Amino acid sequence: MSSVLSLVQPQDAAADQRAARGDDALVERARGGDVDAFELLYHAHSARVYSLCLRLTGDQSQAVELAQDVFIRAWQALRDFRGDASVTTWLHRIAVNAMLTKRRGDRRRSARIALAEDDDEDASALASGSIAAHDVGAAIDLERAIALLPPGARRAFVLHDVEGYTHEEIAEMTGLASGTLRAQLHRARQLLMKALGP
Amino acid sequence: MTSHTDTSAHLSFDELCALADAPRGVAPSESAHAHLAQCDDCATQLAGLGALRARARQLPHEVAPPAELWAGVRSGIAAQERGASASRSSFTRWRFAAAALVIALGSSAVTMVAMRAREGGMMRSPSSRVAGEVVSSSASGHESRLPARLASAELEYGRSVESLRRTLDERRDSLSSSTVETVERSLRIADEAIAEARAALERDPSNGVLAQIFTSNYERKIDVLRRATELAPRT
Amino acid sequence: MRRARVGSDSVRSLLTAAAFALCAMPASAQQKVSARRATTSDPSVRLFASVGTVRVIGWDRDSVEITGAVASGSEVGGFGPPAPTPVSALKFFIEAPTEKAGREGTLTIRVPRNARVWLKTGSADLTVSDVTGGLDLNVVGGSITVHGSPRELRAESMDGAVTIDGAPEWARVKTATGDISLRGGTNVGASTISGAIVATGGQADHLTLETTTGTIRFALALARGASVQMETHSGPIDIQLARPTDVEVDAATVTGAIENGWTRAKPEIGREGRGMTLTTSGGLTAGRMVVRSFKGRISLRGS
Repeated sequence: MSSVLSLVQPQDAAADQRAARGDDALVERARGGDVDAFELLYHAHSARVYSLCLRLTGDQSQAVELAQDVFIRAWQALRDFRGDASVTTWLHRIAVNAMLTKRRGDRRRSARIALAEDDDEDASALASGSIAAHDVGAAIDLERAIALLPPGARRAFVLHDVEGYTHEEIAEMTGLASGTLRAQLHRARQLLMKALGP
Repeated sequence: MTSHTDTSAHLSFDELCALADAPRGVAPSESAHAHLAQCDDCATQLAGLGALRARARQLPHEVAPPAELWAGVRSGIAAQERGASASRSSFTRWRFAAAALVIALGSSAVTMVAMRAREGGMMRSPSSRVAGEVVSSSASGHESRLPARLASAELEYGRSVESLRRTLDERRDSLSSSTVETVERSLRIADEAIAEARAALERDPSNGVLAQIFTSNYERKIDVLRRATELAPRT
Repeated sequence: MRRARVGSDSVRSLLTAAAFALCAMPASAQQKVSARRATTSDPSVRLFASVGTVRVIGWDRDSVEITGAVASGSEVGGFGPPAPTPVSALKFFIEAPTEKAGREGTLTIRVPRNARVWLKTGSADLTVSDVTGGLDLNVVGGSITVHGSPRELRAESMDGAVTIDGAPEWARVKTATGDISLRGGTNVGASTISGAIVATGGQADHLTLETTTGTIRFALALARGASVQMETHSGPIDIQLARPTDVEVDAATVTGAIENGWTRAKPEIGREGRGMTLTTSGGLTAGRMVVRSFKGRISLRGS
């Protein structure tokens, strides 16, 4: 039996619950093949997903491609969605996974010898030091700086510092060890602080 | 962070990050606290980390995607559905086909369109066609220069139109004359628009805007036909 | 429409063969209908009715009440004997003896506000108010008017006009020749072959408006990050936007003209020297407006 206190809900929590109930109903209908319901889910969450894809890829056209991939995968994976996380979190997991899968696939397709994930981390402009604080001035936009990060560092920073996921949640999303993720996050912060200046 | 940090040595960046990430209410160790109290560099770095995290948190979490993104998603779903042979209505299926061809439209090879001409039916006498009725390119006697995917989608459209028309024919007697007139008029308008768009596309086959308008015109035509088949009797 | 069969014991049983209570009147007059049933707070209510006017009103009671007068000789069918407990689904019909008779009569149905109402009529003028659940409305020659903001709305007419006087969360409105009037909403789509579409007096979030030969008039405010698409084949598109509005506009025609009286951006000649294009930029969270026409004129005005 609910306690009296549980009936008094902060507005945000109540709104979240309504949104969750709405999502649950839409997921259920979409599972049954209702594309209109899936379109509703898309419109409810596409802005959150796209913003993550933009920051993960650092490139608008790649972000569009990734976001598209996310929702197509989500359609396939609806039957496995158990509601143990919010739809946004579930979609974010799919986005991270899709991005990792694509990067591995790109490396296999390239003529280069397959490298460990962080081996191209030094290829970014920020990491190579070719762009330093004094080159871009004090007004460099944080978003642009994030886009210039090496991929792994960018991913760790976006998921942890921008989106607010914990190290454990990010580890589950990416399959990387917490220690690796921490190192990537710290590196991202170091590079950003250097690029953004005081 | 090491519990034996010499207070005269700077805190490592990792140690500073750990401090910045510590939950509220968790105080730094005594040695770290002591060092920060007397080291401006480390204190400044820690403050900088806090400011960076705060700025990151304040970045917008929602960015509107391009309007065309949904069309791409829909076409991807349609491709899956075709592969899985999902049981959907023909109406839904052709809508997906339309979206797929719009996204996939590119410099495809030219192909013939062989859309079956419809013979007879509710909307016209066997010996004549409704003015502006869309006919197959083969029937009109000229080779289509539509991109392959567009031509393929038009074939699907043609099949849907034919199937829906057959259903309408069967129900003709149950519909009022005014309803028939409304439907017929709408189909004529749609067909004129489709023909105009197709002619323009044949001159400019890589025009994405044209392709979108062409498929939209078809979609609206088929939607009217579908709705007409679902009308109540005596309406 | 399939006639009622004896229902099952389940509270979700469909039509039964029994007609509900009606009061017979002389053959030339109309016949009165009246019934009331206790329901859950969000029942599914399905009605097929060939009458002249239908009003659906949402109320704060957990019951459905239907009253009115229909053409004499109409066949009516509805819910059977009262269920011992409130039902969650109701289905009934009123079928007039002739097409002409189907344009007579008036029906008023009161439903719980959160009900899901499916309504199919012939030439009735249909008005719905204060229903916040789901609406699926289908008429042929009559008009549809919805007051309020249902969660979901599907409204289809052939040549009758459709007016949505509210901001549904999700709506799909379709006509063949009927005009469509909207006040925006969260996720709204409107499509017609030759009807005009007017969208004013509210706010757009995700909105798609399309007509083949009809006109589109857009004067809605835009939600942050809104996504609006408008398309015609030959109908003109008139867009009124407040100054300033944070929106990226992407407009293109194949042969039509584009005029921009909203910003200083100048339309450019399109592909192969035909048609025009206009693009404007916005901020990071700007809305997007995609406008397309084959040969209609696209006009942007400031307000």
